[in-house]
Amino acid sequence: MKARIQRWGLWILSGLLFLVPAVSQAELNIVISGGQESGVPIAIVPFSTTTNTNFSSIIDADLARSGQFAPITADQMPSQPSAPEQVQFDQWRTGKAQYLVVGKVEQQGGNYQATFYLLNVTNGQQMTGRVISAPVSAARSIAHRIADIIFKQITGVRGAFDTKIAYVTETDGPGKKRRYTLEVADSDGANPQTVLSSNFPLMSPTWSPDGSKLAYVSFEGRRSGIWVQDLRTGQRYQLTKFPGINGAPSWSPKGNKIALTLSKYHSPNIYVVDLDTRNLTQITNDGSINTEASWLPDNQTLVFTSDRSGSPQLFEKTIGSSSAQRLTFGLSYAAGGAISPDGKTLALLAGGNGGFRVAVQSLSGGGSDLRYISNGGSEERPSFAPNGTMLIYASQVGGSSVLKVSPVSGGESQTLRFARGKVRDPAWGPFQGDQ
Amino acid sequence: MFRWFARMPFAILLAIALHLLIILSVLIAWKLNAFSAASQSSSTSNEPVIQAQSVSQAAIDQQVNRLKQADEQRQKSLKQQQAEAQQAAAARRAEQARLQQLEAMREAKQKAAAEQEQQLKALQDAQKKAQESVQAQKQALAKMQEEAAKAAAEKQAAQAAAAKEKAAAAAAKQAAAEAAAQVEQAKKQAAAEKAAAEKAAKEQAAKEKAAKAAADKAAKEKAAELAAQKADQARKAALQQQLQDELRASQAQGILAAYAAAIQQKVTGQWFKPPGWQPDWTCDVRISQAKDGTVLNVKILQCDGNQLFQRSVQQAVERASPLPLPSDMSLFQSTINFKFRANTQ
Repeated sequence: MKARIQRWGLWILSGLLFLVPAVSQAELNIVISGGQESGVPIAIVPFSTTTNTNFSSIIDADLARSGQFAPITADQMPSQPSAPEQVQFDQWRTGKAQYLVVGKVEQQGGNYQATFYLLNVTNGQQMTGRVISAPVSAARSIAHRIADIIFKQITGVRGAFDTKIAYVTETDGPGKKRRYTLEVADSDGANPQTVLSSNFPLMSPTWSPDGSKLAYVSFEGRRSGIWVQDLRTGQRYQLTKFPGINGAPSWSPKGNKIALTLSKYHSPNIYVVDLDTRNLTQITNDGSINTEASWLPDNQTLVFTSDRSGSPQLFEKTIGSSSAQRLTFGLSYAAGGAISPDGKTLALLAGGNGGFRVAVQSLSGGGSDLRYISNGGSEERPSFAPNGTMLIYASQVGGSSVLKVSPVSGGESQTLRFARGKVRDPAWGPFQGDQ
Repeated sequence: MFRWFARMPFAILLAIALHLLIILSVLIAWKLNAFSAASQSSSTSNEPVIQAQSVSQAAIDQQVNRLKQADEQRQKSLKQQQAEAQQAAAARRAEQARLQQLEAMREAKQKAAAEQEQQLKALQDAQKKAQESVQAQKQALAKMQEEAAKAAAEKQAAQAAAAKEKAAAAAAKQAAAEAAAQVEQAKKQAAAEKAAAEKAAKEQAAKEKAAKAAADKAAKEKAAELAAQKADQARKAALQQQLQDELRASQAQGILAAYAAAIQQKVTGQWFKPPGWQPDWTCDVRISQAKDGTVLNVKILQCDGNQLFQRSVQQAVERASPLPLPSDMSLFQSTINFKFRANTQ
């Protein structure tokens, strides 16, 4: 009996020694794993306005297209305040929205003046409040600028909604004649403006880094040539008219050079034209196909497609260096390279069993972290938004061609709506102004 | 009505036949349906419905892989469930054993207490008896003294009478002498008797003293025994206390675990991590809270990922405010450390 009690005592003592530290811990440590993947839940309350523009729906669509926000619909909003002092936060906290945008737009002469506030629903704090004024004709631009400010405040990354895209359309004109146009539109495809109209194919527009000019390929005169056009004046000039292919122009980040593809009766090679001196520098020189150059931010290094190793793959070469480094591996087809503005990410067109799809990989990762961005299977060369968060590309759908925007972080692509036929060769323009 | 029947017998026959046919076909269809429903339900319970789709080899491989992974996942979760069940059973068995041991302890303690009570009673009885015997001895001594005195007096009286008779019978001188002598003798005798009585009293006192010493000794022994018992009791009480502490500690552990789980569930439910997260991203957060669970301060200690990811973590904690409280407020924690892991593990 005594021995048993002693044994018990020992057991209990050892048990206590084991348990006590856990109980007497001063702090609790809790692991939260997983959660659910979701864009940031945000409520853009319809702005109080007498104008015809639905500002909040433009902002909504912008943020949703980025893939990083999940705007809630108006019917899920407990009320529709238009100023911070009208917001009852307790009412909003029971809902999903973590952030709230309220505002109003008033007309003052020929201008619209928007006043809006970004509020943190969770802690009730105002993150920003701004007044934006613009001509009535630029109403949509006001909404895009508000979306940019919200995007920057919450993600820390500059928004790229108040930007332009350039693209080419192809329609059947009278007498079965094909009609080609070069267009510039808002980043959401609204407000399309025809920059050039032609009976000959137009291809591969590229933006000057200040957004004032476009260079593109035109087949006018039944020969390919690179043209440069000023968007404000409409004035244009022919930059190259070499025999053979004059194609795939790419404006350098500093704006002083254009890389392009010339064949000059041989196989296509990459060249760089200095826009000031018109000097031509040959970058590649071998018997294989070299084309689709694009610039790294250093204004010195080019990424291009080459079939020198058999199948088309992407290579990188610095101007003046003797050798090129291969960037893509493990793909039977890799082409259409585009470099993110920070120079870290390579977007490309990856071909394989799934057709041609847009993919991204880290520039120097050798393809080990390749991710597919689109899933259609008949995509074309992508172009980065100036903040690197989205890609725009053409996709063949049912015999036609449309433009799609995909978040680089992954997520649903959105199709931009256009009135006219086939739309292709999109190029995302630079930021406009300072922010 | 009949006329109408008579006028068109053929049509009526046809109508009847048609109705019969409809009923028959409905019956057959119902049976067929029942049969096909039965066969369908049996087939769905056995294997998934196969949907033929023309997909590429890669897609098929992916699908197969996914199925394999799903199967592995299922196996893994099954194994985990089994392991958990075994663990739970082991825990249950341990708990039962612990309860049984507790019960045994309780019984042992009760038994010991009963024994002790009995011993105490016996001791009290013995003491009572000793006291009683001392009393009896005292009484006997008093009686003896009384009787001795009485006997002496009676003897004296008898002797005195005899001397008187002698004196009357003999000469006055002789009588006087004799009387004197007798008185002397009587005196002597009385003294002797007195000495005897004193001796008896002395002996009695010694006896009493011995009895008292014996009683004292017995009492002392009893006291020592009682002290020993008391010490034993105290030890047992201490043991009991430890047992209770241990019980309380395990209860506290349980409450704390439930508390942590409630907080974990609420915060996880409020975590919307943005697309683009990487599996190796983690975020350490330290929060302080008021007694009602209101989150007062969120401090991001170490955090991977972009601003959006960090914001999502902060929002998750803030949106979970007020945090759940423990069922025992003595276990409330005013500071909590969270480790957010982007990966689901």
